Order: sequence, then C-alpha cells, then structure tokens
Amino acid sequence: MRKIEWGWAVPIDGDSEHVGTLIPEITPNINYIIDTIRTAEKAGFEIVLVPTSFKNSLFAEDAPRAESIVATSVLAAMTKKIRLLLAFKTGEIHPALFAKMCADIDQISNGRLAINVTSGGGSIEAQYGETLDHDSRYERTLESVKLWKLLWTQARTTFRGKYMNVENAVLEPKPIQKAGPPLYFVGTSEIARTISAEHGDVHLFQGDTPARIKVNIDDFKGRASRFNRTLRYAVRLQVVVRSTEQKAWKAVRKLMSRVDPLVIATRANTRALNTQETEHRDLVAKALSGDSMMAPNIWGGLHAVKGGAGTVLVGDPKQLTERIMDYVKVGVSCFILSSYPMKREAKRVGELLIPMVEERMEKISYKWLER
Amino acid sequence: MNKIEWSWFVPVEGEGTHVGTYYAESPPNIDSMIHIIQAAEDVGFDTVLIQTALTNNIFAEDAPVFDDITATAILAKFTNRIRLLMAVKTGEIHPALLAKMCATIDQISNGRLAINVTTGSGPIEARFGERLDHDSRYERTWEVVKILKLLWTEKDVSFHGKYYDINHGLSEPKPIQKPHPPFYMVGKSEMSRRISAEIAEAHLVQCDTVETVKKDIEDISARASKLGRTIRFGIRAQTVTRDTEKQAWDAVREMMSQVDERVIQHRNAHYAKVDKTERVDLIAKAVESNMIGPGVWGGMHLVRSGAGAVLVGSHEQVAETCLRYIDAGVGAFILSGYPMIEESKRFGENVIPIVESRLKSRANIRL
Repeated sequence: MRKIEWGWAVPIDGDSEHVGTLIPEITPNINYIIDTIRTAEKAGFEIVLVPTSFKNSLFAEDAPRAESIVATSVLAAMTKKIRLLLAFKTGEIHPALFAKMCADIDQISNGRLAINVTSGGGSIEAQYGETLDHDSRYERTLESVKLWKLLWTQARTTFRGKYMNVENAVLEPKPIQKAGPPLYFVGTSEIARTISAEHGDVHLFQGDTPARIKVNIDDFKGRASRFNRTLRYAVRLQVVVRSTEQKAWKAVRKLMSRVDPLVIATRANTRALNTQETEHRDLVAKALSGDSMMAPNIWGGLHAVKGGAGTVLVGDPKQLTERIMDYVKVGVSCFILSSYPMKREAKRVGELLIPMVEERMEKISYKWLER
Repeated sequence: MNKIEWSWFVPVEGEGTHVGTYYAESPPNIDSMIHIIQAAEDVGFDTVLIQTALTNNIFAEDAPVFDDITATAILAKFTNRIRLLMAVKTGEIHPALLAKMCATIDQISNGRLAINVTTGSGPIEARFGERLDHDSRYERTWEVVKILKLLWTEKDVSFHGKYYDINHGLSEPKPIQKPHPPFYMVGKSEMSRRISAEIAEAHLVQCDTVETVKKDIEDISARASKLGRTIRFGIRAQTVTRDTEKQAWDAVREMMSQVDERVIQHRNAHYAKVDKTERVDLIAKAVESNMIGPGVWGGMHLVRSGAGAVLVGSHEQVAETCLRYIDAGVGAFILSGYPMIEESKRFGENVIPIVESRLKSRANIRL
C-alpha cells in the first residue's frame, strides 16, 4: 500500500491567531520558523513547504516576509529528518547559481531537499518587472529544469536555449540525491501539464474538491504514461480540525474576526484603500457564509484574505479523515497542510488527524492505488 | 586614526596545507566553515569574506565550491559577533530577491551583514552565458545597488532602468542596519571607480605595490569627495607569517610544493596553451621570483585567480608591511592563509597586536 506523505508549511509570512490583520502577531523571525518546523517534525510531518513571494500573502502586503532560500539553508542545518520543499520562481536566479544553491542545501541537509517549481504570473511579478507572457514563462521554466538536471548529473554541461546558454560548464558539488532533488510542479494550463508530465516527480494542486482533483489527476496520468512515467499527486490545503464540527467553525470565525479592510481590499485586487466599512463587513460575512462552501467540510472563504492556498478543510477528526480519504481515493498521496497559528496547529493536526487517517490506511488495502 | 578592520576568509572552495593541488585537501563543508569563523572571531578578526564562484577558482575547476548565500545564511545563525562580508555577482539574482535575501540574513545575524558587490568578467561568467560587455555589466551593477538601497530604505519603490523595471515594489522586512548594510565594491576600471565613488561605503583594492595602492586610493577618494562622500579602502591579500623570515619562506615553499600543473592550465588561458614542461618550470620558479614589493610576493597568482598577493615574513615584517599600506590609506585588510585556522591564529595573535600597538603609540605621540 502506498504511504501518505504529510507536509506542513513554514510561517514565512509570520504567524497569528488571526489572519488578515495588517501585521502578524509573530514576525517571521528565524527562531520561530525553526521552532515551528521542529514541532512539525515531532508531530509526524515528513516535509515542509517553504513558499516564495516578494510580498506578504497572509497579512498586509508590506508586512515582513522572510526569504525562502535563506530560510531553507538555515533549516537544512537546524533540522535532522524533515524534508524541505523549497518553492522557487524560475527566472529570478540564474539557473546555474540556483542549481548550485540546491546542490549545497541538499548536501547540508543530507539529501532532504525537494523543489516546488513555479513560473510566476501574478500581478506581483509584473510589478517587479516580469515581461514574459504565460507560455513564455513556462518555456523558461522548462529550460531551467533541463539545465538544472544536466548540471546536477553531468560532469560538463553545454546547453543552448532561448533563455539561457551555458558552454562546457562544471557544477560541483553534485546534490546528494543522485538524479537531483525531486521536483514538485504546479499549474493546470496546457503547457504546465505537459512540463509536469515529462519532468515532474510530484504535481501539486491548489486545494479543490476531490471530484475536480480527480479529473486533473486522470489527465496528468494519461500524459505521464505517454512518457512512460508515473507522477505522485499532492494537494495544498488548510485545515481547521477540532474535537467537534461546531468547535471547528467557532475556530474559523475566531480566525477571521480581525480582518482589516485594507487586507481584504488588497486580496480582492481592488486596490481601493477607501473600501467602505460596510462593504468590508459584507465581504467577511460572505466569506463566512454558505456561499463559500465548495463541498461538505471544504471551505473556500479564506481566499478572501489570503493569496494562494485558501481552501480549508473544516470539521472534526472523523469528518476530516473521510475528506482526506476522498482525496486519497482519487490518487492524492501527499498533503501539504497548514493552519494558524502554525506551530500550535502542527501539533494539533499531528495528534487529531494524522493517526486517524493512518489507521484507516492500514485497515484498507487500496489495491487500486497501485494501478 | 580610525580603527583597522581585520577580516578573515571563509573557504567556500575548500582549503589545505598546500595550494594548487587538484582537489583541496579539505573540501568545503559547512561545519569546518563554522569552525574557521569561530577561530577567527576568537583571535580578534572583525569580519569574514565569503566569496562567490560558480566554479572553483583555487583548485581544479571541477573541484567542489559552495554557494556563498546559502553558506552565509547558515553562518549568520551559527556566529555571534563577527561581521559577514558576503560577495554577490550582479546579474545572477533579481535585485528584489537579493534585497530580501540580504535583509533576511541581516535580520538573522542581528545586523552583521556587509555586501561585496562584484560585477564578474572572467571566462567563467562567459561560459555561464554572460553576454554583456564590461561597461554594461557595471551599468547593471549600478542599477542593482540603486535598487537594493531603495528597497531597503523606501516603503514604495518605482525604478525604471535599462536592466530592471520596478513599479510599486516593496521589500519587507528592512535590514536591521540603518540605512542599510554597507557595500564593498571592487574594480580598477574607469567605470568601477566612478561607481564606487558614488555608491560604495568601502572599496577593495587588489593588493599591489604600496605606491599603486596609494594612487588608486587617492584617485577614488578624490572622486568620492567631489560628490561629498567619504569611503573606506581595503586590500585583499594572503598572509604567511612566522617567527622568522626564513621560516616564512620555508612555509611558502612547502605550500607551493604540490602544485598540479593542470590547475595552472585551468586558471589561465595563456598557460593552457604552453606545453606541460613549461608549466612545470613555472611552478619550480614561482617561489624565487614574482616579488611585488618588499615582503609582498605575487607567485600565488599562478594557481589562483584573484587575491594572489601574499604578505610574507616574520610577524614583525608582516606588521611593517601592513603599516605601509595603512599609511597609503588602507583601513581594512581582507586576509587569508593556509591552513585557515592555524594561519588566522598566527596572524591574529602576533601581527594584529603589533600593528594595533604601533598605531596607538603613533596616536599618543600626535596627541
């Protein structure tokens, strides 16, 4: 039977009892980050995502946000067991330098690095001078990935592409993981699917309903099999688990109780700094209403205040075990989870949810998973 | 007189008792880097330089070399007092990402980061696809430093340059150091002098004769003062300091006794063309020739690119050499020597105290 890979996330935006405030209650300082990841390691998580962005995605945009490669380097030296899933936006660093950084982090962590390859595309990248269109960015991603793999595995590399050229170049040391750190791709556009099918080890989906994830996984499976490849599938979800469903929803309401109008306006991309008080209250109310339910126990309302990863599983441990199994049944074998505050909740999810799902996995022989 | 800044070196390329061997006797690893820095901190060094290189510049080009940003991030966490002078080659990282990386390291280190901005130019960069000519690369460097300073001091940044374009960008957190971590620039060209005068806090001069170093310092100082600025000057050099001059030269001969001719071939396109016997001959003669000035030997240029000038002599002599550079306007010494821990101890325990006490007694006389 295939095992589930449990993932948590690094509080790179800072951390808080409440989301959508202007500033976090705990700044993203390195000691708190280390502490959170050690807590997650103890709670049974095997991998942590270190997301990347120029701006804060959980509080006001100008709230502090640590840099991912620096944080991952320190975590590599300060943790022992947990794997580090470093998010990287191609184009921001010369591919040879990035390949070297990854090789070093893989060396320091003794083979624990994985890379979440992203291609950018939001309004934030445009503000920092990105001029390539969607498909060109993915073309650049494809070249980057090919070049990394050559540099990681060949003694000498020559590569001539549209975006990068190297001539008889050497990259030493190589990563500890012989083929290079595994690559977790994202995206559901045509070109994103093609690249993932040919080069990905894992495809990571943004939180969605199991039914829609299934449609995507079926498509990816078909594409990968044409290259004689098998991918693993991961989903990025938030989770609010409490002993009863009622308590879980109470926790959600508390989480959303201090949302600042500026934050909600920024995420809605209205840039209307003068959003009316009432309008703001309406948006929070809408986020908390039944309109934001995507399926039973799957709540989409966090998207109102958070950039990316705003789909939340809400319920008691039994309910959420069922929901997790729904994803497992359609082919998901990796869950990248988070919940706020991230240190405290890592412990809770590790106690309430992971053991119950693992028990279910042991009881049932999912032969179909091996298909 | 301002205090001298003493800086040691982190061997991201590996190190050993001998230079120019094919592989380093001690390949780079993070634990030994931490030990070297802690030892340097203990004997009185203020700063360490962490060099950047895609390919090894000291041993064979396929010998391992560590990336310096990942190393500096970890060193920031594992050290307490020493300043970290991290080299960055402009053009390799988007300046907004670099701003965030540096700010995060400055936060982790509690304000101990300095940045050694390099522009790159060698055949190695060309191999990795660099196509800009010399002056364009410096133009890009100028833009990068401008953007870093803006992102570190302003809330809302727009910058429209030839190489970068930012519209309402921001970078938080800001560095701990206000207004920002200092920039140490390098270079000898007209362009690099102009840029240093305008934006550097310090300029690192390659170690050359005292006269040449003095001329460079006076020139860049004059350019800076026209802009109402004062900048500090440093030199980058190796040291071989011993109880006696004879012991020091014996140590140089020992250090150079295992040079592999393939390393010279990798280092220099000219030496790659001559035949092997000629390279072996160059190595044999390296120690006996190549004097740059009294107590300054240049023979290590044969095996390593950059920083090939070596201060050689008794502790007293090396201190005298340092004082000559100080009189020429040098306020920072960025040093290294092999093996790293032993040489940093010899220098820190013997040479630094002599130089400091001479400077102190001179100051007393003036008073």
